[in-house]
Amino acid sequence: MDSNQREAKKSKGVVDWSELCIEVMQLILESFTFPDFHRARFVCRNWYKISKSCVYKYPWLIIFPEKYSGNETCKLYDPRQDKTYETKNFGTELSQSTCLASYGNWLLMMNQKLEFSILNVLSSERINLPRLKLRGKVKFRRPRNRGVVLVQGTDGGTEPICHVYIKTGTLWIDEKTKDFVVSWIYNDEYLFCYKNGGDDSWWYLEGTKCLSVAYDDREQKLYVYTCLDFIKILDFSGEKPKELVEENWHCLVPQPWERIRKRRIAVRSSGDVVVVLSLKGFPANQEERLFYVFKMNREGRKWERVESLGAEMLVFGDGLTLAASGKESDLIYFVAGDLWSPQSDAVSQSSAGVFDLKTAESGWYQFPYCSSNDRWFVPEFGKKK
Amino acid sequence: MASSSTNKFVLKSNDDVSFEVTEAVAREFQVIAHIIDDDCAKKAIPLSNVTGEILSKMIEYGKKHIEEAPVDEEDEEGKKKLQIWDEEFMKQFNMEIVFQLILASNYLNNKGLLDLTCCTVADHIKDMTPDEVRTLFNVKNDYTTEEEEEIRKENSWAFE
Repeated sequence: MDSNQREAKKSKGVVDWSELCIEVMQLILESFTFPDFHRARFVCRNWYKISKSCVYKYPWLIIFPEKYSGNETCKLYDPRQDKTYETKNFGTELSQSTCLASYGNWLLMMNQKLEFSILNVLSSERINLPRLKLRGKVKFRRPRNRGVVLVQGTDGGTEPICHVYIKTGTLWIDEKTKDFVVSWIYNDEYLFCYKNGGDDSWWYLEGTKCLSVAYDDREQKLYVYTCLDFIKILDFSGEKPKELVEENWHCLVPQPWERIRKRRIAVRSSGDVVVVLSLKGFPANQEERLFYVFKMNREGRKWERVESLGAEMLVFGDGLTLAASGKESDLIYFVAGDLWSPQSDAVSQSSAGVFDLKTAESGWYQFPYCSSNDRWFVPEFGKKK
Repeated sequence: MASSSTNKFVLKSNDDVSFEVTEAVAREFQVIAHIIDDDCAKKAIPLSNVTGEILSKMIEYGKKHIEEAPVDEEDEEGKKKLQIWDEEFMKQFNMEIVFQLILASNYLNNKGLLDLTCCTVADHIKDMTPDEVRTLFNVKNDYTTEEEEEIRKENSWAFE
């Protein structure tokens, strides 16, 4: 804007904006870009207070450094501004790590030595998790000089854990107390989890061959989507995770035309559980949808397909839906790997996209450099350290 | 009973200006739709918080959105046309009018116009310093220097 325009803009306010009710001020602040939202907090105490009550949350894309590049910073892409920020240098082996889950500003990271940590991507704070150690029949073993971790099954046989088969997990952390719960799935075969506060042992959850997990921190329950299309529920409120047998939910039977790429489970803010499927392609006579969402009908014990998440949005694979401002509701954010080997050039060059559950339309974000590890996360701005 | 396309209602502003509108246009404003549904709309509907000037603009907006409503969800061209009209429509107003429109669309509950006016404010203050925003909005800075520094730290990763 030139200086005249600037002067004209500054021309004195003749109205009393404090007349506006909080709901309207929230609407105004929520439509700001991130830098304007940040600046608005400087205006006065009242605006600061209102900004705290806003639903100013939407996914940003986190682009990890290329492997062995020596660069240990991430790029954070804000889709609203179409602008990329660079994080501080994390000074560790970030470029050789994989991100398994995110929760707010926190990421669950794993390096190739199978060491786990949780990292606040905005403040650089890091919490290292204890080394893998298990109680019970299934054990981890680290033979000397071999740099591998073996898992010893109930039958006594061992197999090396290969980090590339660890792709997904869950993370929950309390920003204030730093209490946390993490879980991850190895090769659709084993489910491991850790909760701080007890001893240094991880837990192996028996009989949970599974595809996807989601953690509900309000109920302290872990929902597990098993390989047999069951939903298993584990109670984390006690010292030790406990399976709630009577609550295990049967059974999502996919229809023959639903050629499914990935199955993911998520918990709504209401506590409802939804199953999200990404599809392999569009069968004849079916609408062109990239994703299906199913909700458990509690009375009928039946899964019903829904075309709305209410006023919420979802990052595919993240396990939680989030309250969204108007424009963001019913959106599913995904990365290229969530879909089946995309065919067209435009799509294969893109690393991420967004699918509107209401209209079945999708949009893509294209980047010159993208890796399979890139993912959406939902930053929370302005949290005090 | 007359059909809703021919049914007319009179909206009356707080400075006694009356506007005759079709039921469809009147129903663009949720509060008025409720009054109609409750069958309380026999005579003119008085709107005690809205001036004639503002009300005429709101009716213009409501009419346009009825007449040019996109045929369906697929009607991209229709949506685009209306969006361009919205942008042009807002250009004619200074911030004082925008402010009055926000108050009125909140009061009469027209979500489309409320979103549009809020976005207009967001566009207007884009890149302004906190001081410029304070002048525009008539707000006083009630922070101490220390408090300002605290807030600055909160998102320092992005701005330093």
